[in-house]
Amino acid sequence: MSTVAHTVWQQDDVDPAGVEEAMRALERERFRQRSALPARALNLVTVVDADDADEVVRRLAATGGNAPSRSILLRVHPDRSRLSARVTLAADGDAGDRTSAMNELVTVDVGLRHLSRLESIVDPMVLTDVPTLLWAPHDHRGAIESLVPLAQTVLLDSSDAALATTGLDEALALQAAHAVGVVDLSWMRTLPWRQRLAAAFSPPSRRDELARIGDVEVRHQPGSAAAAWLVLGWLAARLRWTAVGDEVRDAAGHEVHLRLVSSDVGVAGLAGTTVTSRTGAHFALDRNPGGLRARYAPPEGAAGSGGDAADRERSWTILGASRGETGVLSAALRRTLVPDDGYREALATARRLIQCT
Amino acid sequence: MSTDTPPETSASQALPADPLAEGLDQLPPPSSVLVIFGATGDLARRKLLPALYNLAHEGSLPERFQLIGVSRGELTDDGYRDEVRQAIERFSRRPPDATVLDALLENVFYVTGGFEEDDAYRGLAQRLGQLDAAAGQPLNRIFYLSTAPRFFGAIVGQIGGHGLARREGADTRVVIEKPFGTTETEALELNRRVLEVLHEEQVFRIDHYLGKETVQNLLALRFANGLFEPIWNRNHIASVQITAGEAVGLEGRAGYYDGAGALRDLVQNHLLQLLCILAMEPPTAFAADDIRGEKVKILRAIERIDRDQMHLHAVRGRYGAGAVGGDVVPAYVNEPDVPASSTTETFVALRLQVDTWRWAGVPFYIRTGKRLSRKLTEIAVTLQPVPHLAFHGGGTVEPNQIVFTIQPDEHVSIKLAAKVPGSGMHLRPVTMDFSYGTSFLSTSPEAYERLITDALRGDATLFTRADEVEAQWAVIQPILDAWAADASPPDEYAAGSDGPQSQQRILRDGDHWRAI
Repeated sequence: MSTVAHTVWQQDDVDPAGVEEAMRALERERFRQRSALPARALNLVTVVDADDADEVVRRLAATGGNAPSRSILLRVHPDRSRLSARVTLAADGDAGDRTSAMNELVTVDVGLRHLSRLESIVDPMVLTDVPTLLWAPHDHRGAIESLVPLAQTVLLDSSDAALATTGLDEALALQAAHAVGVVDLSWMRTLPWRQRLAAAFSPPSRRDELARIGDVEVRHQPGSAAAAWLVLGWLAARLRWTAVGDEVRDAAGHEVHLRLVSSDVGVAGLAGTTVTSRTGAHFALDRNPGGLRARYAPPEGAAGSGGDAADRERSWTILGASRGETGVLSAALRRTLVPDDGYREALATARRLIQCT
Repeated sequence: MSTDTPPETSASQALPADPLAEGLDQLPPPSSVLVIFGATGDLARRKLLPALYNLAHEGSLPERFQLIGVSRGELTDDGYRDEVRQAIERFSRRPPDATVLDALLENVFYVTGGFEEDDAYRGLAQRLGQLDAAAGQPLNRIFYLSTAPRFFGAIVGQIGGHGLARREGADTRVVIEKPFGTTETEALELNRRVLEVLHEEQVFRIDHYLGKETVQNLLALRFANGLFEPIWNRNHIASVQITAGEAVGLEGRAGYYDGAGALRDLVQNHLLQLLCILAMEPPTAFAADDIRGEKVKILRAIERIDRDQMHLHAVRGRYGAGAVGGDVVPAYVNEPDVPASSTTETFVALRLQVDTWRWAGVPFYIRTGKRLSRKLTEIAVTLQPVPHLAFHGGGTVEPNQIVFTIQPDEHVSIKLAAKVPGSGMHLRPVTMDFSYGTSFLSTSPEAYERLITDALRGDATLFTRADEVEAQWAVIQPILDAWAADASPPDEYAAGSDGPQSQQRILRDGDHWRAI
């Protein structure tokens, strides 16, 4: 049976040093009650509109065991002149085999006037010697600029912009202007698709087909075109496709046709993808209850010709539950701690593909 | 649009070997059929089937995954699917998603038959062929032996006899549950029978302790931190103590346990694995054979205990009546299904010596038992005392200890001497404890999830190699033989205590057992 205990400290009109002192006091108290302190791995600094903070807090809370060691939530009020803060230490104790966790949430109410000097407010509150991830889901760019010296990684969603090009450009600009990593929620939404595409073409018997791809269609939820472009950017970067004039050509110079199709499946991210080779064979993945529906069709003229099962059109389900936005956020938080799997390259390539097409 | 059409040559040569897989840290395993022998048994229901569901839920199963259950009971495919559903709904660590569970069950099949009957394997071969045909490709085959150990050799023999051990274009592996033999002779014979049919690379002998995240973390803590490794030798370490205490009793497994005892049940496999990971030299690479090779060196370096010295190195105990967690519990011999004449030990304490340059003279104490005061698995490393203490009259200074706790929580604790605040220089021990289990933003998978995934991938790092299991038995068999020749019963201890008093006799002067 799991139990969660909270220790809370709260004060209005407080300075950052006071918050830091309160956190240390709570920690000492917590240590008195429990023999072990958690090892810490990550700070998360989140800047949100005060009116919409609850939704972000719910998303973070839903990450459960995936939550950062210390979360600092800056709630921005239009007219606030003084800071107030609340610190919550949550200990999740479990009597069974599972491990126990303790997470720390610091909520600071700030005003718009504080945004340009947030670094001096937040600096005393972050855990030193562990990475800091910065997230401003409500587009507080001034806050990002102020806080980025404290951060090693910035979390964003390139699908938040009205246009895919704008979202991708903003990610590129952030990388160019600051020595930080970027974790893009749109990119994280594509992870299962990339894994399954990679797995489908991983057997040595199928790798040659990669060099014969002539057409790729990516179906995406309306508003998630950035994710679709990132998958195309990833494919193009991995397969050494290049933009030549208004065409995309593969490593041998064959033209590759790329196509985005908007398809409402009610879930942000991709809806499906079809990879077609110049021989007419195609491999498609689509969202389906219980996972992804995979379909394979053999090259034109090959179907049934030899009576071989490999020559028949087939479909099957690749098992997996939808992670939902909570799962995507959890994966994004974890991505901060493990090496990037090619986002930077995919992003740059995606941007070139957009220009080309 | 250009009309140039380059020839279909050499395009793939310009690409890396597996270009889409590069950079992805979780590529799903290759398409596979998993065949579980003992498909309706307790291990399958409690561990294997829930683990498979959770892998399916997380999208970690292969692109194409089929499960075939093999067991003696007469069941249809649908009947077995009902059993699988019930097991998953009851034992999964997360509530199952109905759509994922339904999709998983569509790929579940059942073959009826005794494990030694040809008909079962003919039926299995036919079903495997059908699944390959439906997939349009030869699927990897993983045979999981979750049966009573007496069937292991026969099943592997039948797999070979029916031409299922190897095939063109796909891999075949056999996962063998513990115990791998009940004596050294049996283990050697089982290895011989298995390796008559299979190559060693095809054999995955399970020790589920190795699937625990914390056990793997021991490797990281040792070999990725400059803090520990420089002192990891006889010059700095005085002794090592490995404890696996259980508060529970037999939990309905009297039939198995009374034939096995604590030495076979936990020491021969799990605790020797912990000793190896703690004591092994750094492997040249984090690869299966590099790591297993280093572990084998340690096992072979463990000094064999002469029978006339056995009483100084080994203690066996058996719990009597007592109280655990406030409940009155019966003595072992009064447990249901335990014969009154039983001499099975429920407690073992050993003092082992690892004869290497690094560990010469450092005692390795191992202790495990049932119905002890609480559940606890830990490794305690006691450092040598400081050579000179300048603080005269400063109080007791105990040697530093580094304690790795594996169960019930994952902790590392370091015991240090510190000054008591005040004007005098009074020293007292303090502990610096930290919990690292959940710091990395993910929930640790169940050990079986990790091990099944590794078997599907063909990664044998966390499985026991033939020479490793034989070396484990070579350590244990002399103790079993000595006890078998000794008619006296195991030393009794009260249930709920820390074990029999006689465990003190194997300690080196100045050493003491840690409280459980």
